[in-house]
Amino acid sequence: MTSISTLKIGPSEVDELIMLINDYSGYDFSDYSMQSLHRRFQRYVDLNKIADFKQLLQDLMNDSPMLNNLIEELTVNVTEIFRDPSFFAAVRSELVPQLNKLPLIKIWHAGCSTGEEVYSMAILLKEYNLFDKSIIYATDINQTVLDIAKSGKYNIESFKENEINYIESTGNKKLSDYYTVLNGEVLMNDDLKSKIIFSTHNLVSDKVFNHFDLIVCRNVLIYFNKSLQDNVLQLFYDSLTENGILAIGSKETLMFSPIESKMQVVNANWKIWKKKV
Amino acid sequence: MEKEGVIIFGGSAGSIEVIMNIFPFIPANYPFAIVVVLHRKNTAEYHLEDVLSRNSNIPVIEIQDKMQLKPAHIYIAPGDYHLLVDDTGLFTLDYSEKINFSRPSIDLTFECFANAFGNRCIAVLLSGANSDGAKSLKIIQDNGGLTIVQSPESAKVAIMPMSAINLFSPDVIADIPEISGMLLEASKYPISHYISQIKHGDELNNSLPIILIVDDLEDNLFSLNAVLKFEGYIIHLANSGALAIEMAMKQQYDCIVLDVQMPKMDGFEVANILSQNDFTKNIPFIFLSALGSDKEKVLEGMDSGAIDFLAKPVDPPLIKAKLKLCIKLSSKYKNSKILFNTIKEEHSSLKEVNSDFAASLRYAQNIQQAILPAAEVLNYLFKDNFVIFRPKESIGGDFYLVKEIGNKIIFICGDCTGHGVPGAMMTMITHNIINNIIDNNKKVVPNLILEDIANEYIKAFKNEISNITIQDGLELAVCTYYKKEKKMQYAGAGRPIFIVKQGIMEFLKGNSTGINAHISKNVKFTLKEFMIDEGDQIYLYSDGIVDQFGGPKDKRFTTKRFAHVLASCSNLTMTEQKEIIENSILNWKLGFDQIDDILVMGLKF
Repeated sequence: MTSISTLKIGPSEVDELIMLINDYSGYDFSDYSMQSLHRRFQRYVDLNKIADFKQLLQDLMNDSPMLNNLIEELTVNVTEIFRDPSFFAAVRSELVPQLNKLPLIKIWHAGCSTGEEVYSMAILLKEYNLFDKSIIYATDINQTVLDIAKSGKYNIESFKENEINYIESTGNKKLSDYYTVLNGEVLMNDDLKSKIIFSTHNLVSDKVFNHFDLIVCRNVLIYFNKSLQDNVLQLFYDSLTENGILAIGSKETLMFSPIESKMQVVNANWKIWKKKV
Repeated sequence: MEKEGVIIFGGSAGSIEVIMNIFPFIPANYPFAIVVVLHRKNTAEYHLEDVLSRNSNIPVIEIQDKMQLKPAHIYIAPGDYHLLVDDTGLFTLDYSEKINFSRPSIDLTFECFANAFGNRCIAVLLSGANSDGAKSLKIIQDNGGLTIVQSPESAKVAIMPMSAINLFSPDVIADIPEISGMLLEASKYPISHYISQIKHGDELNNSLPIILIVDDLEDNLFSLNAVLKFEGYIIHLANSGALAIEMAMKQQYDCIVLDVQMPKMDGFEVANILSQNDFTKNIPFIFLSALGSDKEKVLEGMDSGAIDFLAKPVDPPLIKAKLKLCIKLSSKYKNSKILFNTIKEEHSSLKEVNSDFAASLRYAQNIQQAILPAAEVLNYLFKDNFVIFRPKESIGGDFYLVKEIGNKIIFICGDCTGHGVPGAMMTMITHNIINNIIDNNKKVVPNLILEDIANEYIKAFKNEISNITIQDGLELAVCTYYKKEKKMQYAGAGRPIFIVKQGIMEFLKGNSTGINAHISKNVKFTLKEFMIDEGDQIYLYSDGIVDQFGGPKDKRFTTKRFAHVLASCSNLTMTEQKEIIENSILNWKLGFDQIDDILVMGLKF
């Protein structure tokens, strides 16, 4: 059970916190989904047993590590290796043939969080001998999760489920071929990291920085409101090469977005799209 | 955005079959949105919405991020995401940490709805194997919403409903038919009105509740009678199980208080017999016994469907409180039963009427289509053409007409006010009037045709003697093409047209008002003339397409948007244009009903 805090976060508290964060850190959360953000703030207040809102504002203004910690708590960092195995099965059967034709494969994982999905992609590319001609950019707004991603160290508990995910994604080896267990921790193989560039990137404010044959951004857009979603989708569109592929979360949609008419469906179930020529 | 009501279901193990039993009763015009949050695995292969839509009269949709909640839709929360909603009914999905091992968390979604919808929210907690949903159901109650819990006896797995009942007093505890009955009843009122009606117990019958007390010891009977008789109940007493059963068959009791240990027939046996009879099976009862402290006996009693099991000697405030609950249950049951019978009767008589009506409607459709020109006629007269004719119902108020008179082609697009049967009757009359004007009065110039129509309308529909004036009217675009001269004339009554001349699109407006019985006898229509080159195209349309609501912000399609669509495809073949126009209106109205008849004609010279 979550502990019940005496402080209840309401819409006006959310507004005040967003303003404070913007003023003191430059991070703009005003176009995030209010409902999700509200929950993140409430969670932060509950976890840290904060009872006085004025005091909280005061503390955040005076204590920059605390402010940074709050900002990091605002982004949801729940992910796992080969999450949605059938998505990766679709990548294997439908995208690999196209990627195969390219001399160099550039991939962007936007909002990569702690990196599990990036390593999943690296493993998949390896199995089709595509890894050596690939470069994967993995970006997130949150430096702390990027550090975890870069280290490739994960909690061993979660890896039982991951092994099943891997098999369901029609992987033909063993997931454990790709990591070592050291001192009770899972350590991803070093060679998987050799083609991954980890870097911070803020989808709200940062612009196009390269062009990609494949952009993967699953379950990130759900935390944004419609207008920010539209902006980010435009950013993705502008960052795609000719024939470039965009994969978003299976419950996210391009419907009514400015790029809908400019993309064609590759896999409707898993929301994989291709830039129209 | 108008604020609507919402019904939200939460459940886990054993709840799918419950909603499958409820949804077929929800009618197509149901005024509220329905949201379903179940603990279930997310698989690409199994789609709950597909299974449910087979037996549903309203669309069943799996929620996608930033989807907008609308009435008369059933929304299914996707597996493995939390579901949030704001007070405009905008859904947001969330993949944050599981709550109580669950994603979706019923607690989280219920709480969101409690905050966003307050007293416009009815929440139903169903069968399930953990306590998710109980805490937030109370928040829904606190915020003025109606809370319904599936009765534990009717639930496949009772843990979820029991957690709520143990935590607080839900407004209603009901089995599946009762829940269906309430959801139907609710649709007759504004939702907040219905909720307060149920919460404040405005019962349909105001008579006092009747209670039967059964005990073999008369001292016990009298002492309980003394405790309860001033509490606003009518009390009947029985000193044996057999007598109790006999009495219960004659009188519909609101509650039976049963002693367990009685000679010949004990309380459990009585309960068992009563539970097998249709007349008595829904009477709530309370067991009373010195055995109250014996765990096994208590369980046996609960198994036979008792509301509670109280130890002797009875604590007066306790039994009074329990009785209140029983009475509430019983009256809810009676209400929903009365309602259910009425609905059943209405339903079967409606069904007969409907099938007669459907048959005559089909016939009317044939008649109406007979007055429209056949595709071959259009193909013969024009180089290329298309017609989109989509009445809102099987028959409608839109029509078109094409006639060749010597070297002239007259073509008309008309839109009579109204749709359905009245609209269709108006089209038949109007069609006759126009034929008469062209064939007998030999009129060919568009503005003159319109003026004649106006005069005929006044004659036909303005009855000075009886003082009845038909309010309906029509809008028309009339064009005449002179083949030899390659000249086109146009006049309009409320219906503009589009022309694409040598690739350039123009919007031509005639008179801005339509024709009705109130129009002036001397009304004049403006005539426009222009030359036609090979390849020029003309588009006539009724207002159904531009008035269609839809899009991301529930807006009209508008003439501007229609013009954009036409401009974007006017260089294609007519068949391709038809497909593009049809698709763009279909995409626009996604999830909305068609609001009027739609007619679009494209003609190429």
